Amino acid sequence: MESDQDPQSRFLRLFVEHEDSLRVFVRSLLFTHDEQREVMQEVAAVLWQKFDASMDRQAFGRWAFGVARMEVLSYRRDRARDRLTFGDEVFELLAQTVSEQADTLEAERRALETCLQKLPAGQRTLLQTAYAPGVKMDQLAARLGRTAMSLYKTLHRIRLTLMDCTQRVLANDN
Amino acid sequence: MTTSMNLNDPRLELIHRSQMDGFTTEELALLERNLREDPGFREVYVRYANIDLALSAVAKPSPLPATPFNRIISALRRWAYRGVSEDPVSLGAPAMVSQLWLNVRVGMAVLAVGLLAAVLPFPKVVEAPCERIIQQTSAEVSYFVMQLIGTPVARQGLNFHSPGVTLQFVEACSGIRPTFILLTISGLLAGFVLNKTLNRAVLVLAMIPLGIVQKGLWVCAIVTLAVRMDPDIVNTWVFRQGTAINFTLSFITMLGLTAWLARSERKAKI
Repeated sequence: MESDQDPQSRFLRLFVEHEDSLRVFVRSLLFTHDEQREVMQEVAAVLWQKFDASMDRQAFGRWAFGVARMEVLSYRRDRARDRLTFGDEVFELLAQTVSEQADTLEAERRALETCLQKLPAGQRTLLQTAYAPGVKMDQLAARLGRTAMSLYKTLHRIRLTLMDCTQRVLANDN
Repeated sequence: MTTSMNLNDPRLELIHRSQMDGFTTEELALLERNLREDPGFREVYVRYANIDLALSAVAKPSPLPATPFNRIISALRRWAYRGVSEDPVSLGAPAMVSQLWLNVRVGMAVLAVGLLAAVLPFPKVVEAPCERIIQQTSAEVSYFVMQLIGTPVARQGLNFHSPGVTLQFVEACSGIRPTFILLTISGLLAGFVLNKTLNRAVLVLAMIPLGIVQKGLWVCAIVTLAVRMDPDIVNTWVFRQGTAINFTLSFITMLGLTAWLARSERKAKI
């Protein structure tokens, strides 16, 4: 039973349950992967430090999203980027959308692997290279003999193609 | 989820712009308004973040397509890499270094086999027709170029008669073994440097006409120099080392072609 679990196990179970949604939420509020990773580390630390074992699943979810939002604001403020932050209303709307669509977003992530195999080899290679840890877009663009703008645009189009594909895969499954 | 997304929706550009340097406060305000006012756009925005996040986790190298060439390379690698994972990227730098070393071992093994095959006697039933083809085509190339540049020559089959010099395309000088070595080396380069099957085929198959054309040009050069400068050139080391010089020139051309194909693959439009 839930009340019999020690706090650590309970926290891990709740955190793992909400982790993917939290990451998507944080990613939607920030604009790069590195920022998302950095903030998620802080979010995980704060959630563990201030965890109340009496919370149920829904309360933990609401609280976790609130902590994530505060950490994003704190991150932006610390890096003097607060002029590029969404307002409160958009924060709430994005959190609500992520929560409501959690199952569908998970299904899309599963469908992504199928869609990746459908990509031409060149596009797949580009994605693998661009998403490798530590890769900088401007350096990658220089290595490929392209401008950073053109590389970003290409990656953007590939992501949109994958989004369209995952939606079709889910529609076929349904 | 909403119906199919229109990939050409101009508002999607805002998502693209938000990831680049120079994203302005005006663009942010526009993005925010769209997120606030349009639930459909908000949904797309969240899905985009979801896909972007998931790509960093799942964009792993996919297995090689099961073409015959890749099957041979995979079998060689399994023999060379026994006991070592075939996914070195996931294991980090030490595995990638050991993978490189194992690649070198595989390459050396294939090269050793190829060189050994090149010095062994070929079956006459294979060697004779190949030599005849190389002789005939080289002679045609040579004759054509000589006529083009105005070198006086009278041709009788494989015999070329020019003032002061007579040359014959003989079987022993067909260059079949250097061509075989070039085919082996180009096959290795194609396997390890190039990714596209078409480019690999181009590189390997190009060695045959390359060998023929270079041999034809070589003979043309010797005859032209003998006619225009010194007929005694056929007794010098330049003529006697013709095979080595030809091979070197073909090797350099092969490296150049490999580099050009590799560069074209890197620059391939997505």
